[in-house]
Amino acid sequence: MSKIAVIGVGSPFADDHIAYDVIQLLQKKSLPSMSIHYYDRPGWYLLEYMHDFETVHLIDAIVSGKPIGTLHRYDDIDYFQIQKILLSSHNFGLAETLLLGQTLNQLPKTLVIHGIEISVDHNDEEMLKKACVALVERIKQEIL
Amino acid sequence: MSELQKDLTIPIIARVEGEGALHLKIHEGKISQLELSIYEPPRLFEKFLEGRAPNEVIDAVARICGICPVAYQMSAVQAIEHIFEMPVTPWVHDMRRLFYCGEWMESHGLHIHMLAAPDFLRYPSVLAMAKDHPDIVKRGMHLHGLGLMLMALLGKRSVHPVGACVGGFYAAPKISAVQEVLAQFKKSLPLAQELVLWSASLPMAKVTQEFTSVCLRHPEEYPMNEGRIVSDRGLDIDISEFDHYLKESQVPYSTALQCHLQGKSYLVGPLARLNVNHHLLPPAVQDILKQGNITFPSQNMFHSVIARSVEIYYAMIEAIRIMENYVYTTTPHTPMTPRAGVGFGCTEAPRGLLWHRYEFNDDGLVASSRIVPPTSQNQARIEEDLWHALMTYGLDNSDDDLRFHSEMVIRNYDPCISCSTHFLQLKVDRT
Repeated sequence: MSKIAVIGVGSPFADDHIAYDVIQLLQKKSLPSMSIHYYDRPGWYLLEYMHDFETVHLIDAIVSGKPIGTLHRYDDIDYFQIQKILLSSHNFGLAETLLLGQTLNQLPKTLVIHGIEISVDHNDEEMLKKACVALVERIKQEIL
Repeated sequence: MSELQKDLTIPIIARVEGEGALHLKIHEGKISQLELSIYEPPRLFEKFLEGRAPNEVIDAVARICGICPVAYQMSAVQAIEHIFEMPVTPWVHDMRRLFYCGEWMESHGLHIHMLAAPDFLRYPSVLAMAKDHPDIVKRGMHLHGLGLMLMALLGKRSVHPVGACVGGFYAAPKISAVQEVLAQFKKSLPLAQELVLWSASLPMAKVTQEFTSVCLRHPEEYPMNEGRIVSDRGLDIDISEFDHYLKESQVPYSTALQCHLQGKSYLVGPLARLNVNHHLLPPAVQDILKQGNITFPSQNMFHSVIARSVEIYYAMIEAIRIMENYVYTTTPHTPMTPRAGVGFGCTEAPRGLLWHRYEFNDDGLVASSRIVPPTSQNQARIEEDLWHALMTYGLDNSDDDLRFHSEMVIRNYDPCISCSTHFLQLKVDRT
């Protein structure tokens, strides 16, 4: 098994589908050097999915107010702000999961988080398609 | 303002599934008003189902809850098969039970470790608790994950699964896939034994209350998918009689309906199930209860966390038993012939009794539906518990302490407010 994984997370439906789309594109390419996975809202169990890999590239949708389709890249989870109060497991998102992984010393040695900016109101699907293709190329370049 | 008179509001109750609030009015040192308000807008699922074909219902109801989709699917499928007069084959019976074991483990594992344990160990969240108790959190994550694995084995995915259909499942899992999951379960069984003993060692108040436990009872098996609705006080009815005895009503401050048994609140969920059905637990579970000096029935509501742990251990043993006897089939579901009629389904969701009623028309489509989830059945019981627990705790405690204690009492029920329509803002008025 490859020690490098690309993992997309999030619902395959509605505004959150970009990680699913990126993983679909990656799976169509012949990329034996990386293990490619998609998980629909894995919650804290994402830590178990990442457990066997030394390097993980995570893909998720991001809402930060930047233009739709903007590519984000973070290699330090301190960029993420977490909620001070955990309202429910529904609110236990990617940032909370990664912070928990850091506390449990259960994060891969190298973790890169790739995001594509989406809107919660209205998305330009053409723009998102282009962003997905651009992110695939970026990940390929980083890994290969 | 006198110290004995105040209004306290918890505007959003934390660490529960969904959104609700608590408004507490204290007058002359006594509670004059206590309202658990579920303010999420109604989700109108019952209306969405009208006009739908049978298997559309099974897929649609899985979307009601991200935590307990299997329960919704199993209650719906039972009701529809009741209308279509379909027998349940032994293979389907066992696979539905296996499916349910996965959901109990997934839901209970999440609640015990992520939502409830920080209360008992006095941490604000699982993130804070993980610093001092990493192995406990890792155990929770692992058991939760095993549950997800089972759900995906039969549901094809763990989130809003799509594998179940009227008559059974769309496909039978391959033997190799079952063997792989079985190996993981056998390896992890000691973790569930540890969990039971650990949960019994948690610091918790020794306070008992009078309440009625209501759940399913089956003559031969610990209840999941079938049985009669019974209580520990003599109720014993067919699921079709639910409406005659258990009455829903609207309170002005909540979007979830409350439910009463002959005018009184009652408890559903793991503690109620164990209070009524503890004698049906297999010897291995009975042994661990003896080892931990754990006894059921119990009228201490905080023993719910122990009940959840016991049910995780039971679910693992039951899942192992079913998987060890697994046989592949090319007929994982029986064909259906839709017809008009009325049918009922009632199964044991992780949080308790989940009752469905459907009427189908001559076109084989839903004419009307009704769903009574466990959280709305527990809502009146939670209010009653809060009343009792806060009086015992002492109303002269600070607002912050009252808020923490109220939330702990509420969380203990593992309410899924998203299901009942969602959790707590506390408002205390002291006058």
